[in-house]
Parts: sequence; structure tokens; C-alpha cells
Amino acid sequence: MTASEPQVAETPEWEPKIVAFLCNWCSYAGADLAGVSRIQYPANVRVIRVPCSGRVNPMFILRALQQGVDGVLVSGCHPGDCHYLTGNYHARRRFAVLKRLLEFCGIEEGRVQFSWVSASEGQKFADVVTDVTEKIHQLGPATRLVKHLWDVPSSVLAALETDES
Amino acid sequence: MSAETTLREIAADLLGTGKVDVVVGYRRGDGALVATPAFVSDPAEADVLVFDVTCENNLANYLHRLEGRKVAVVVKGCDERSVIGLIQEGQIARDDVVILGTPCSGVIDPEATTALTKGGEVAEAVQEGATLVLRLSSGEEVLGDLCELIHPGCRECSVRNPRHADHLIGDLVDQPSMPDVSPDVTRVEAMPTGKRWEYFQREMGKCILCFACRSVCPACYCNACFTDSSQPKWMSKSSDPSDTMFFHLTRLLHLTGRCTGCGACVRACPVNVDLRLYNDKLRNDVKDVFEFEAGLDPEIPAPLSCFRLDDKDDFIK
Amino acid sequence: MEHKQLDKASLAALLTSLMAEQTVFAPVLRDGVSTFDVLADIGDLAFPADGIPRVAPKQAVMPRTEVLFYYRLGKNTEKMAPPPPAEPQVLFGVHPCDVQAIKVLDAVFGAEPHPDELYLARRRVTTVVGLGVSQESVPQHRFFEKMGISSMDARDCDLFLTPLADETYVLEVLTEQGQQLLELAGELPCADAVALANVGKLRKAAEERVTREIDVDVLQEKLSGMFESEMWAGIADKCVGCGACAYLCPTCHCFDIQDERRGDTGSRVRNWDTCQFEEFTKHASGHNPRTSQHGRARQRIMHKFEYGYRNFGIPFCTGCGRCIGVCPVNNNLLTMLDGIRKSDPPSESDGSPTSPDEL
Repeated sequence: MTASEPQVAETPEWEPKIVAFLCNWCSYAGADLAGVSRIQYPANVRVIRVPCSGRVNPMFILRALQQGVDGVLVSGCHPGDCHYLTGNYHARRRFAVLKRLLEFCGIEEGRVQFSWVSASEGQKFADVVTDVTEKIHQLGPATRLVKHLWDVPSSVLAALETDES
Repeated sequence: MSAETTLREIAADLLGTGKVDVVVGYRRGDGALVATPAFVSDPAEADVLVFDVTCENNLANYLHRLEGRKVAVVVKGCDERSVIGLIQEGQIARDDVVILGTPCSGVIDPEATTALTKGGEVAEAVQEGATLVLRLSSGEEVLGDLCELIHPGCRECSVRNPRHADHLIGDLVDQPSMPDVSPDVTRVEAMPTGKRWEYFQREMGKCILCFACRSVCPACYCNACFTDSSQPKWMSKSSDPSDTMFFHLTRLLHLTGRCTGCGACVRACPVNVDLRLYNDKLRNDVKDVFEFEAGLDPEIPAPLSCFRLDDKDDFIK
Repeated sequence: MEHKQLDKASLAALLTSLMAEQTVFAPVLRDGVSTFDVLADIGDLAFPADGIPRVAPKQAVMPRTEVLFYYRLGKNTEKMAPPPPAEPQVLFGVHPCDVQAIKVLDAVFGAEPHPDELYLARRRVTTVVGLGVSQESVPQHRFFEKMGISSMDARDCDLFLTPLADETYVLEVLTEQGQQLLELAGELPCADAVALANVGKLRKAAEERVTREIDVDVLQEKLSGMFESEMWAGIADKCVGCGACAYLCPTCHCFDIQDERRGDTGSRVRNWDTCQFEEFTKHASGHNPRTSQHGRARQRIMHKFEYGYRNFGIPFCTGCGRCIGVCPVNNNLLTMLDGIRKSDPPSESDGSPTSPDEL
């Protein structure tokens, strides 16, 4: 955090919100296995299932950070095991570039992370999520790419109350 | 024979014999220190073509819109890399373009010349070796050291001489060896993350999203740019700093492995955003991680459109 | 009419007191580029030598992004609320050609029968302090004098600041609003007779340089017959379709309207846009009536000197020359205007549209 950054309240109750893009064939299945096996891991992750890690457009990650998520995890099949044969190879190169660029621009290392988790690696999935959550806890709430145009001024919120809300 | 005379003769010949439909080159613009793109299709008009230290535009930018026609294009070493890039990506056919390669030691920075002449209007500019002689309208004569007057990016150029020219215009120039990594990139990489963020914020804070950078870039040729997509709406063109950053980060990613470092974007930016730093960083990473430099070999595809089985993934859990 | 005289210190003090009460926009330097932006620190103030910052004061009266209203979406309802009212602001040090450019925006956004209330509300709480520039000659690309505007032209300003050779400034109070603004600063000394005489001399000299040689009536008439002219191809060939000219132009005012939503609340915003972008004219159906650079190049000139002038009585160009200075391919508006002036007069029936709706 630098002096010029907005002070986001990191209350004791703050829990990171982490978005995880999981490839359907390996990582999502691995996460499923962790659940079925009753392996305990932090509940901070919201999963978005994609067909392949190669489907993940870097713009998804940027948009997630704009929306205010505190961390992003992208997980796919191990190289060589991609259901679509080569998707994760392309993803590997893309992520290498994205990670370096984001860090160069000042997005904290560890905000955006990547993993290879196979369908049989339920424990690994739990371990990865635990690791990532702990790291994000240390980094604190994400503020740097957050889009504030979406905020509604408090003076206006009252006027927007509807009977339904 | 001077380089300019050679250029005009070759252009007239190419047009006269029907080898090309149009020669894309430079002509004198408004003032002695300004050159502007010229599209010559009549051999009798070949005399308008010039080449000197004022020729800063990357004319490869026009090739995409001239696709299908036989074109001769005047390119400096940096611009030529863009041409090779377009050929490699299948955007133009090698047979459709005649490369008129012009060795170049750098193009001048108007801010530097304005500072030198203290704003005095330049009536004539003559290059004498490493010196630029500026004759002002007031009659005064000002001498400038070319090394100090050229754009900062040109000082680190490692492609002063074209390598694929069909016709070489002018003599080859000295190519001093250049550092592998831009010193500015090294400097920023060494900063703590907070300082890097401050710098990025400051630079992005200047941007008004005019898209001059995108428009002059030969590698940005998509007919449907992501910025214009409404379904899905990838990008908002608002003044929220996060939207400006979204544009630049995404464009940088789209250019990774394709940007040749010609500097056209840097020169076009009306508010001096430090685009060079970020593009240099990515070119550096591409060289480091994929052992690749854009626009040198028309046979080798850009790194993000291919892969190796043994690509490094030590950053992946 | 009152005249105050300030030295550097009292000018700084004046600005500091204004900054405590209102948002002050002024010319500042950002990494070597002169821009007209919020003055956060008095030390940032930097009047450019010719008074014309690269980025125009336009963004102070027409922000790059402006919220039109906020909304909340319910299951079966939607609720809307206006944005908070515009805060009072001062535009400090606006060159006369930029002041006249604001007049163009006033004309467009104030046009009956549907004036833009959001713009007008902000405009009403904006106080304009003009800046006089006394330089002997202006760079070639600045042609406001050819458009009939002098560099000491105080029209339409609330206050007018003239820097003098002895490093003092004379501040002319021209409107009630200007007077009220000064009251925020406390007592200021009146200008002495010598200073006033100097201002008079500078104004006279500046007015003598005004040539009005760009005859907008001739341009409008010629342009009305030039829809099919070959001139546009010459400009379009080089034009790369960026928005640098339009975004830096103090009169260009085209915009796009977008919704920005997160969850069930959001806002409808107005963003800067330009006819130079291809998707500016893209319809929701996907059809785009103007896909060529040729058409876009023509549109910009026509809007400024034909349709705009004909419909509003003022040309949509005040000769600041920013477009000429910033074009990456050296397209030059003055060259174009010269070409238009020299072109053949329009024939009787050439099928050119007579109103923008026919485009």
C-alpha cells in the first residue's frame, strides 16, 4: 500500500473474495473430489467453470480485479493431459506473460496465481486454495485495479431504495 | 547520387513499369522539420518523395488497408520489422510488397528541436554528418548534435539497417551494439511494487483514450478491435483510471511477441504516456522466456500463437 | 467595471483562497505536456508561453465521463436518481480562443427546444477567468487571429487576467459572477493607471493582428457543394482514424452513452466519442452507414464549417491549432481550408445533403 492509495477498511471480519477459473475436465473435477472427500479448505473461493485453461482470456482476470475481487486463481490440467490436447500449452505461455506484466505494473505478486490440478488431486486443490487464500490474507484487500465508476454515492443510494429491496 | 535521388528514380521506375500500383513514402510536410506520408501512383510525381531524419511515421501501418494491391513502401529498419510481422501473420503477401529499405540513425524529436531553437521557426534543415544545421526564418543558424536531437527510443535501436530490402536506399549506417535490456525496464523492475504501481498510475492518469497509439501501430490491424466490441462489451471508454489501465494492459498483451519497438505509438501519443517502457518490458520478456524477437524472420510465428512442450512453468503451482 | 492588480505572490494567494472554496482548473504541466486540469497544488500552475495548453479546458465543462443518472434494477421495477449537483468551479487562465470554444459548447448543449440541463447546470456554476497573451507573433499553426479572435479578447469571460512585462497581473472584473468569485479572496488592490494603459496597449496591438482572413461564409458556401469532392480522399489516405484531433479540440463535443452496472445498481454515463472512430456511427442492428475514412474525414470538416456554422451561426472552430500540432501524420486543417477556399463554387444541383439527417 502506498500513501496515495484509498484506505480500504481491513476489518477483523474481512475475508478475501477469490475467483477461481477451473478447467472442467481436470481442476473442476479435482475440486469436486475435494468436496466429496470432505477435505476442509477455506471457503473464500468462487468457482467459474471453463472448458479449458486455454479458454481463459486475460481480460477475464482483469475484469475480476476491476470488480474488486481480492485474488484470482486459474487452474488447468497438467501439461500433456489437456482434454483438448494443446489448450493448456497456450495458456501456459499466456499466463507467463500476464503474470510478468501485472507485476511490472505494480499489481502485487500473488494476487493472480496459477496451478495445474488434475481430476484425482482433491488434496492438492485444497492445498492450493489454502495457500492462495493465506497469501491474499497477507496482501490485504485489492484496491489497485478496482473500478470506482460503478460505486453509487451514498447521497444517492437512499433515493434508489425500491420496495423490493 | 544522393539517397533521395535514388529513391525517386526507383519509385518512378517501379510505377512506370507497372511493377507496383502505389509507392508509400514520405513527402515534405508543413515545415522543414516535418515529413508526412505520401501515396504516389503517378511516376511523374515521384519527385515529391523525400527521406531524411524527419521521416518518423511507420508506413507499414498503411499496408493492411492496401492489401491486394502491389505496393512499394519506404521503410526504416524498425518499420521493416513491422512489414515482416505482417507477412508472417498472413496479412500481406511478400510478392505484393517491394521493400525500399532506408538505413537510419534515428528520427528527430520535435520537442528537442523546439527546445534547441527556442521555438524559432525553422526554414531549412540540412544534415551534415552528425550535425543538424537549422536555418531559422529569422536568418539565424542553429547547430544541433543529432545524437541529442533524435527520439530517445532511437538511441537504443539495434536495427538501423534494413535486412530484407528489395532496394537499399542510401548507404548502410553504423550499428553500435545495444544493451540487451532497456535500462529503464531494469530500473522499474528493481522498484518495490508500490513504486511500480505509482508510476503506472501516473502514466495511465495522463491517457485520454484517444487511441492514437493503436491507430498508428502496424500490428494493431484488427477490423474489430476489442475496444469497439459491444457484445460482449469488453471495455468501457470511461475516464475511470481502471478502464484506461484495462485498455493498455490488454493492448500490451495483444502486442506481446508482435511489437517490434518502432516507437510510432510513443511519438503519436499527444500526452506523452510512457508507452515505450511497457512495450520494452514485454519485448524483453519475450526474448528472455521465448527467445524470440518480432519481425526479424518471416518464417517464425509469434510466440503466443505457438508453444513448446518444455516451456517453463515454475510459476505455476 | 473594476480592475485589480496582483503580483506573483498575491496571484498565488488568490488562487489558494479559491482552491479552498471551489475546484480550480488551470494550466499545469504533466511530464512536459501542458494540460488544463484540476489544480491540486499552487506550485503546479504553469501558463504555457502562448496560453494554449495541449489538452483543452473542454474537459472542465464537458467531463470525459459524466453520469446522467443512477439506477437500481428491482425484479419488476427500476428506480432512477439524478447525480449530485455540480460543484462550483473556476476555469483559471483560459485563452480567448478556448473561451470562444466554450461558447460553441454552450450553443450546442443549450439549443432549444431540448437544452441539456446537466451541462447547463455545470456551466452556471463555472466561472471563467480568461488569460491574455501578449506575444508578438503566434506559431503558424495557431490561427485564431485568422478566425477573428485576438489573444487579448475578453469576450464572454467573467474575469480577465493580463500578465504584464513587469511581472504583475491586471485582473479585469467583467461580470457579476466574476465579482462574486473575487469576494472569496478578500481585498485586492486596484490597478493603477499605468497598468491599465499597458493593458490597453496590449489589447490594441493584439486586435491589430486579427485578420479575419478565414471567411467562414465562403467556406460554408463552398462546402455545401463539396460532398462528393475528391479532396476528402487526399486527407483520408493518410488519416489513421485516431481521435487525437477531436479529443484535443476545444469545440468537438460528440459523445457516446453507456450503462455502467455492477450487480443491480449502476449509472448511465456520457463518454467522449468522436466521428473519427469507425464505430461512432454503428447502429444497434450492426449496420454502419459510414465505414470509410473518407466519409469520416469529410464529416469532421463539414460539421465544423458547414452544418455547425449553418445551423448555429458560429463556426465550430476557433483556430487554436491543436489538431495541426498533434496529428501523427501531419494532416493540416489550414491546408484543407485553403483547398476548400480555392475549390470551384458549388453547382446548382449536386445532390449534396442539406441537413445532417440526410447523411
